[in-house]
Amino acid sequence: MNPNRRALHRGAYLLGIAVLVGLPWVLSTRDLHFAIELLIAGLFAMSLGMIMGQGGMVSLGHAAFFSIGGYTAGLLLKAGVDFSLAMTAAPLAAAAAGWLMGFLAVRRSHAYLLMLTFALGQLVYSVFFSWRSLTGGDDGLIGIRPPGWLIPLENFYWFSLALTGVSIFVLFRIFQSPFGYSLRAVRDSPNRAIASGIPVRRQQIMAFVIGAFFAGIAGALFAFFNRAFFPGSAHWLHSADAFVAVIVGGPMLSFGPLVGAVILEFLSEFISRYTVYRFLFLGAAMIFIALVAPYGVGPPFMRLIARIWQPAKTASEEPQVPAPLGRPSPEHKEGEAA
Amino acid sequence: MDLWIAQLVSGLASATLLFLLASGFTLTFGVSRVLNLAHGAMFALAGYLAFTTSRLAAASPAWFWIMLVLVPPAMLGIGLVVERTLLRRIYPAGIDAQVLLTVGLIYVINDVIRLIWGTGYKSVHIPAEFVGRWSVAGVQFSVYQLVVVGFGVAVASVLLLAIHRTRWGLLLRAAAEDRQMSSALGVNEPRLFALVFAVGSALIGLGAVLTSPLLTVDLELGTGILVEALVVVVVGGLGSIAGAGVAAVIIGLIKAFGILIAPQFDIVFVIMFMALVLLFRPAGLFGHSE
Repeated sequence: MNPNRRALHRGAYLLGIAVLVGLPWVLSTRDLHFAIELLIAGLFAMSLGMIMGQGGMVSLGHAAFFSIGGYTAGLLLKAGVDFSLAMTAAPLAAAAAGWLMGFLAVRRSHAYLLMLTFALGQLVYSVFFSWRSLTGGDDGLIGIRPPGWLIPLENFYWFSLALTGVSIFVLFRIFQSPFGYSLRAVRDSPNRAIASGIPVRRQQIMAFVIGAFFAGIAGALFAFFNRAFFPGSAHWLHSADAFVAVIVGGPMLSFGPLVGAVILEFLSEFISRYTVYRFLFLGAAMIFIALVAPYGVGPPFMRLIARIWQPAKTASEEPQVPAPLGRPSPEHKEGEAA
Repeated sequence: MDLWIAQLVSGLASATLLFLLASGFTLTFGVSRVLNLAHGAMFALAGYLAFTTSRLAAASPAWFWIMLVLVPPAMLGIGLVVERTLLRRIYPAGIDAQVLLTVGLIYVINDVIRLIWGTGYKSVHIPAEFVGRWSVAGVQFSVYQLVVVGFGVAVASVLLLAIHRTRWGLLLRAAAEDRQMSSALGVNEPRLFALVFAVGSALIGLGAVLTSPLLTVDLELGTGILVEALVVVVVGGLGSIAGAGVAAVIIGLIKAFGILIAPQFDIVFVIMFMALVLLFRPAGLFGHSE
């Protein structure tokens, strides 16, 4: 990359950060609420990207980690524990659950893995739903009081922005680390990974632990934001939200999940301003995307961006899309599924 | 003792429903490699259709039989439309697109239900000819639950016979075993896939008609039953009808007796049993390893 281009990149990043930091001075209260929800949904989707995108393991139980983070943070805060301690304990509890789910689930792949993670996630949901004395069941865990400095909405926004920003940055560093490379090697060719001495099972479980950790942060943020937490956050349809975001954004792109979450949140917000039957239209949109872009809108979108960004490239240099190495072709995936 | 036998019958009745749902799910997966997560939502839809049919036909003494004749074919039709217009377009795209599409389908079905029937509970009563209890050797049975179990055994027998003794069943097993080979030998795959999905949908309709008098029909119906049906499929082994039958009975009984021990946590027992099975037999009781 030449120095000019690097400066351009850096400038674009700084501009983006400045815009994000400046949002509270521009947006209405309602829009700022939406922006915070967007940050949380984005982090939630990115954390699933660790498991699904980098690890290539389908998971429909991710809401379990989100809700374990949320309930841990909420319960500790209600018990009078210090805020920073509650904020630290939440992702750790979620990561522990991630280890357990990974341990139980990664012995299978594809359809079985999907159903296993689904069932284990619903197990967590039914425990939170039924254990009324701890979680309040359907009435929710209410009266979670974050410290005073988090009460103004702008402050909460900046806090969420900092936390999700750092989390996503750390996730990117993990994607680029030797661990990230070995995980993608496992995803793209398990047998070759075994042959080159990669501890396949351990790497896969580790992906679950890391993904769960960051989902726990998103859950804790959500609990502090709403000052309440409900078992619906553990429901498998909430897992499906993240799953759909990963697919829509394109699982093979490192930031695909973020793109997908942004697209879906905007779509959902836009629809709900016009009709109460939000899910009818959201569902129809999802079906439409599945039919026209079954591998996500991320890759075609990135090709478009790349074409605008680097108009004078020759064909041989075309795959400048910042995708991870070794994107398997559709045929390859199909072959594995059979 | 009476209580235990009553729970046994009620467990078998819920096993019947689980079998009807899981067999369609497992067949679709075995033959077409499609995971239809909207299976539960389609069951809820069929439950509402059963409710409406029972109301429209309430004047007739044979309303239950009218429901039985109308709802499964209606679901068969809906299944055909879904397969022809949506599912068949994404067969090559793998599991990710299937989840995207079927979750979208759940959202659409749920909102359509909300649009037509609202959010309240609906209930169907037990048909007059099956109300009451039979007493055999001093033990009381709910007649209707026995009727449901009888239907379940009959349908299971017909399904197994059809799969093992008819030409379509043969093609089905061939396609499940080796799709490329059966297709190379001239099996009409699109028709086979459509048939399997339509039969699975009709079984959903049958299950909804039979169990609507035992359940309350509401929007949560789909999710709860989807989880249990998936557990049955996993325990039985993906793609195995016989496995689905055995697993449905086990899970139905675990639920019925789990309720006696800890009423709210029956699903916890069910999922823990599944985890145990998978630790010792990762492919399920009747499944082939990958």
